[in-house]
Amino acid sequence: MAHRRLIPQNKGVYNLSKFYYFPKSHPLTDGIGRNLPAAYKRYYEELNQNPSAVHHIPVKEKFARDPNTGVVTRLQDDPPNIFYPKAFHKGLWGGAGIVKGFNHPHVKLPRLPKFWSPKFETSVVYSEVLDLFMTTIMTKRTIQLIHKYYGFDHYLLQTPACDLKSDLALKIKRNILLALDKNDLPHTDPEKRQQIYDTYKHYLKKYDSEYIEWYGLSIAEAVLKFEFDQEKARGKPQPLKLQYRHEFLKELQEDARLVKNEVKPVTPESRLTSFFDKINPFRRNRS
Amino acid sequence: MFQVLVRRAPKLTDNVFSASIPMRNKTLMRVPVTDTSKLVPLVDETQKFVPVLHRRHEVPLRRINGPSKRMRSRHFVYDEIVQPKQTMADVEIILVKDVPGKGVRGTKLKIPGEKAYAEFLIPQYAVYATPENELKYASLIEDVEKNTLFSTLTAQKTTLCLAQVMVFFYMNMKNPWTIEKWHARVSFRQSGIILSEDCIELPKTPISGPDPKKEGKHFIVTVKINAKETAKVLCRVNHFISDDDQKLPVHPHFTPPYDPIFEEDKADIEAFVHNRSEIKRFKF
Repeated sequence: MAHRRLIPQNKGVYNLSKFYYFPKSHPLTDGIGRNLPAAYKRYYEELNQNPSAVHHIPVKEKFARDPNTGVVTRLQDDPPNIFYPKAFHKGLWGGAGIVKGFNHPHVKLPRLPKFWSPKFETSVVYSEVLDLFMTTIMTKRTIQLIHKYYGFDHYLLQTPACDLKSDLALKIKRNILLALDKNDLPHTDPEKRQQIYDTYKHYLKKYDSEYIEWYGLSIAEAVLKFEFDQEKARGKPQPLKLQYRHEFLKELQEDARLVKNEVKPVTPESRLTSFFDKINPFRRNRS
Repeated sequence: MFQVLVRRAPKLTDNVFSASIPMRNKTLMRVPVTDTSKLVPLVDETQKFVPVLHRRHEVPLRRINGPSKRMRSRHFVYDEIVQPKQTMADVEIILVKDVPGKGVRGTKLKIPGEKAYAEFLIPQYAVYATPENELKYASLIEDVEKNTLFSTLTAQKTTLCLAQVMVFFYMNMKNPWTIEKWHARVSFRQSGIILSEDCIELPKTPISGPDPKKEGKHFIVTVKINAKETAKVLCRVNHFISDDDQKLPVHPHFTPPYDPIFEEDKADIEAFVHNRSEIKRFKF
């Protein structure tokens, strides 16, 4: 691949950008995504916050004093670079990802590339609100977090989207929130349904119904939903032939009214024109 | 590591750690390997089962709330904080159903998290012992704490174990007999259950033979466990003779027809057979 400066699109822009500020293009600031509602943008912000520390010990203090010399130094938190593969979005890894880096076991040996990943297991989760058992790929951390919050639903509803991150977890959370918001839980026993609704309904204070509608969607899905909603609001498109027929009928009705009132329709200026039409030598169809 | 060292040093006479090994950047070598064992107590409980890493080389300070500076490849050298092998923390649960060998409805248990999740919470035998659940099941918990329903934890398990066994009484085809306690003791022992004669209770009307009408027919014997719990055991009479020509066929256990010797037991035996499939679900 050519260097980015040699690509014709960037050629002029690169030099100009020294003097002018070009904001980076983003699906939420350009194109159709610009029109998405504020509720979705709020969710997007929640999703892209800094996640809580999983693969490192976080540095919480801003400064540290050396006990021997008394010199104060500034500290900063730099977590390892974590990446989330496609399989991450099909399972519930509890926020853990994969870290790519180097292993350097001995000073006199070359460092070797290494991937650090958690151990996976296929296990089952049960959602009380949806009354649903699901077999997924999980880590032990997920089970620990479920224990911490006393149940799978509580875990999903209490953790922000930036920590869940997985597509599957966000979709389950979306379904739970929608079921609670509309109050249509799938339980057949009405007593049990009411009991479960009562235990989970206090979460609805945190999320308003417009926010729930846009929760857990990717940008592409949100745009699709937005377009669909707009089409729905516009109503069914009517064919033009109906409109023309309507207009034509109106015209006919007007003509009939004119005949009744014996108002003469507009006639050609002289009879001669029609006569000359008949004997026109240049006419194509000679009868 | 040792293998690599061997590969790098073809001459055995050379010292392995001498200059024969190529060194790329001597300044990098001066950063010592971090002692990660000191960092283990700082690790959070939910980080026990995921790799926790520590950067060997410090990243240059960036401006406050500013963009990060350019990272060199050395900044991606990590030391893994190896934690001692350990199990998941214990979780408190309340049983909602009777689990044989573990307890009856309302018992509080404290068991490792993995086991609690897979064996109790997902099959819905138990719920978490949250303050709300403790209020909800308060009467059950009190009941269990005050009066123990079973003499021991395994007593309930043994009743269900006994319910899965059918005991064959092999009686003589020629000589007259009436079933006594020692007959029962022997036939129980033949099917793998060793017990004393005190805990056996035979049916009130004595069964005597040889009688072709009683061949392959069933009756119920009650067994007392720890002089408290009673377990019913299904038994069958089979006539036996050592002569091969006169031997009668013996059907395997729990196969129809389930004909009773006494007509009163008929409903009991049918219920027995029906419940057996449900009992088999439990792990013993």
